[in-house]
Amino acid sequence: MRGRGTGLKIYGTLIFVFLYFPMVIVLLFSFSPTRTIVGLSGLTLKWYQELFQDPRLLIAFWHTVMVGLCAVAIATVFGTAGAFFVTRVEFPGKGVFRALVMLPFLLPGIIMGVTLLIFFRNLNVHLSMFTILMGHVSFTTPLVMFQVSSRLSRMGPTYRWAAMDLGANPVQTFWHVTLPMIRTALIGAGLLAFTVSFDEIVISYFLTGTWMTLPVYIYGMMRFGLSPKVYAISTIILILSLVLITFMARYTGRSADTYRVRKRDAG
Amino acid sequence: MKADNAIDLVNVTKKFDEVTAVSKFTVEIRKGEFFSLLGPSGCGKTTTLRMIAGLEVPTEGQILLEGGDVSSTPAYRRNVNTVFQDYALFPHMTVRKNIYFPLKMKKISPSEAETRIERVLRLVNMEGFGNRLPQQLSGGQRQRIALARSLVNEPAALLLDEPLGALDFKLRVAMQKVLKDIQRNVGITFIYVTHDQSEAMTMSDRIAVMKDGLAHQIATPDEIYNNPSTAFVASFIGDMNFVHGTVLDNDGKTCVLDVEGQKVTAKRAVDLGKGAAALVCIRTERVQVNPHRSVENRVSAELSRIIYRGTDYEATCRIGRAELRAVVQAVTWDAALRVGGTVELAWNAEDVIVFPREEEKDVIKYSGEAV
Ligand SMILES: Nc1ncnc2c1ncn2[C@@H]1O[C@H](COP(=O)(O)OP(=O)(O)O)[C@@H](O)[C@H]1O
Ligand SMILES: [Mg+2]
Repeated sequence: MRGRGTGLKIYGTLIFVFLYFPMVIVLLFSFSPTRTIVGLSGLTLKWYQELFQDPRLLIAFWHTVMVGLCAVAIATVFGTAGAFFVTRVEFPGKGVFRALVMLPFLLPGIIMGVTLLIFFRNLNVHLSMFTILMGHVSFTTPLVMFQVSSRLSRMGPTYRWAAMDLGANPVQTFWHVTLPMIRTALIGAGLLAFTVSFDEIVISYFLTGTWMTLPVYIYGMMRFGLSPKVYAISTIILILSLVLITFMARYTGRSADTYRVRKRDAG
Repeated sequence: MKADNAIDLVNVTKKFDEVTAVSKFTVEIRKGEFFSLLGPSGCGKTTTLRMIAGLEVPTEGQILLEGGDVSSTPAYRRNVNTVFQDYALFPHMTVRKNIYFPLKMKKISPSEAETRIERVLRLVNMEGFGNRLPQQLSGGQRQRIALARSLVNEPAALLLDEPLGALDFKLRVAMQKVLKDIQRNVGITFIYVTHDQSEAMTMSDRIAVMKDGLAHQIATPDEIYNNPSTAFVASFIGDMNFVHGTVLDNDGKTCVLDVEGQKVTAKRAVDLGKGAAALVCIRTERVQVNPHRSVENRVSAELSRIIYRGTDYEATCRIGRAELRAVVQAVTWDAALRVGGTVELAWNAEDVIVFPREEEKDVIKYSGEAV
């Protein structure tokens, strides 16, 4: 028994190291004054300063945030509507429909990217923020839809029936009962969609013209070698993602956790 | 369809594709009545209740609420409220906000609402719980809050779908009394769904006993117990013996039957001719073992099993191929009786109920007891 426990602990530690060591390296070298990977003498914020003096990078960062926010807004509206549709309406081939809707999220980005590029080219749509945004909407919508529809089906129809029984018309039922009960799922789905959109590169790469998002810009930077600036921006993105993921975990948990969040809100 | 009826169902039918959940249900439920829908799982009780609530649209028939046709009125405009089996308290609202919800929908002023909420919390004995969240309450407490929320608007009828189903036995018995007391206090019509016959018997003014979407009998508990209209009703309520018999003689008031070569007399109107195959029913507690007084029906039998159950003994006896159980109070039990001995079984002719043999398929058998 004891031997097996120890083996598992070592195994776990190795996996942990394998997963997180590269991140630690990136983090460390973003503060290293030398350009090389070897040797670490002293700490510096030089690379971070350079970042903030690179207007093109700042613009790319701003683009990414903008695409992310817009994609989240659109995906939340469409995804929620879709979620209500698949949980409330019965129709033949519903299973197939659900799978098809998830496809843009599950398919390799390269397929989605090429497909959308061909699509926009054929329609003579100029590659711009709009095309990138549409690309991001295509995979964030199913994400929101999945989160919200699983919350809706876990909720069941009884609360809605109870609300109507107690005198609430369909609009009041949605506003006072259904919406508050899926609120945490909506916030969680929005955060997740933003996180995914923020570091999306493959689809964006195909749909980008001169209007670049941050991941695409970073990829471009790397063609001129691994600059410590890349480490610095990676570190910033890493920390930002961690913050988002922490918030997300608060909202997308199973019912027990979500109730805890609601309990705090209700006080 | 009198004006003082709370609810009238007229030929109400509900079909789900090929399944007929409720079939031609007609009943008049009076104001202030405690009316139960009783039947095994899947017999259409919930569907009936949901049609009254407006959550399900009847395929055919009419539903009247206080004399007015509500067949096409949506749930939120019907003056009835439901206590759902899992209570359906809104988890994001405190107890007070849950109870305020129906008042808010009716645009009752906050000050008036406050008085009503306090009153209804007192009614269900839950004062001081207003600021709790549903998940901070026990099952029994949630049940009371669900009840309060449904009562606060003083509906024309309160619909309860197996409201005690999720509670353990002792709490259930206690809550039966609470519910009955509350119903008497507020005087609101209760329509109560249950599959528990003893619950329906103890609480109801009248019961509709249902099977496969059909109301077999609508009557008082006493009537249902003593004069069941079908073999199904006879088997579903109480503990009943069923034996095969053949009609020897029938003059419309007294029916004489042959059961395993012995004569059994039933003193009631039986709709079977001479020679007809019959199903003879006798309540287990009406069968006497070696009685002192003389009664109309006496058969000799062999004692095949004795089970002691605390307050009573259950004696299983053989009459030829038929089996008859007698439940005897422990205080009157003859301790000298032994398995394998011969006993005389007796019962009153009024206690014999006779159905056509075809109804045997509807008989609900408990715990593998032979018919
Ligand atoms: N929404 C529905 N769709 C299809 N069949 C249903 C639906 N609701 C109920 N039924 C069927 O109708 C019958 C009666 O159900 P129900 O009223 O729930 O019975 P009970 O409450 O007495 O257990 C059952 O056979 C059930 O399967
Ligand atoms: Mg039911």
